[in-house]
Amino acid sequence: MSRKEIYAWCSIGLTLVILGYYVISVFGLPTGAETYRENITGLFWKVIGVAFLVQLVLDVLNSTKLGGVAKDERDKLIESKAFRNAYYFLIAAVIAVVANILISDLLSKASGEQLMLAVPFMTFHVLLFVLFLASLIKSGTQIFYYQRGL
Amino acid sequence: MMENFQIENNLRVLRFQNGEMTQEELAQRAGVTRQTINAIEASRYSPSLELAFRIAKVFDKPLENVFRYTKV
Repeated sequence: MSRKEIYAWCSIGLTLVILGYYVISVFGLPTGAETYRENITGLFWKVIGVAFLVQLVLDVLNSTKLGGVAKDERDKLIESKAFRNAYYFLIAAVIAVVANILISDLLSKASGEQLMLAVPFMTFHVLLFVLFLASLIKSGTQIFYYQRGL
Repeated sequence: MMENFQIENNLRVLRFQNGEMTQEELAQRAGVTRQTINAIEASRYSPSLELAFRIAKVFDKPLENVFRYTKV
């Protein structure tokens, strides 16, 4: 497994953990899951700790030039495909959110009621969720191409 | 209609003929990662022209002795 692939796995783990923590903070734990709160918190810290440690080791290896080249043309090509996919998703999602805000605004004015996505803080949650998903798409695309080949 | 071609290579044979050179050693000398050499050998990645020349230079062979463009 190349270093960039390990970075991608770490990135997926970290994004999922931060996204999970964020979702739980905003919406709370599902009913019946309160008893597992300690386990979930422990898992969060374990994933963060392992990802941090792995990235630290990789950064040290990269800075000392030990273990050969850190990133080559194949890594850059895979990274560019990953950024492209994440960018397409991000643009599509932002356009959808903006269109939703405009439509919600028009409908709110017409009906006189405030619709859910017209609430600014709800839009903030949606946009943050989109950012997390874009990050997952980027790392997921990288892993896909590392596994399948270009 | 355009015919399908793929890039094949003799890396495994050439490594063997050059003192059983490891993928890691070839990667270091060509300036890439071992995983990239592995992907090229398995025909899962087609190298850039520059990398192909660098690999050929490691073996001191002309490009066409290392890589072939063959019909599928």
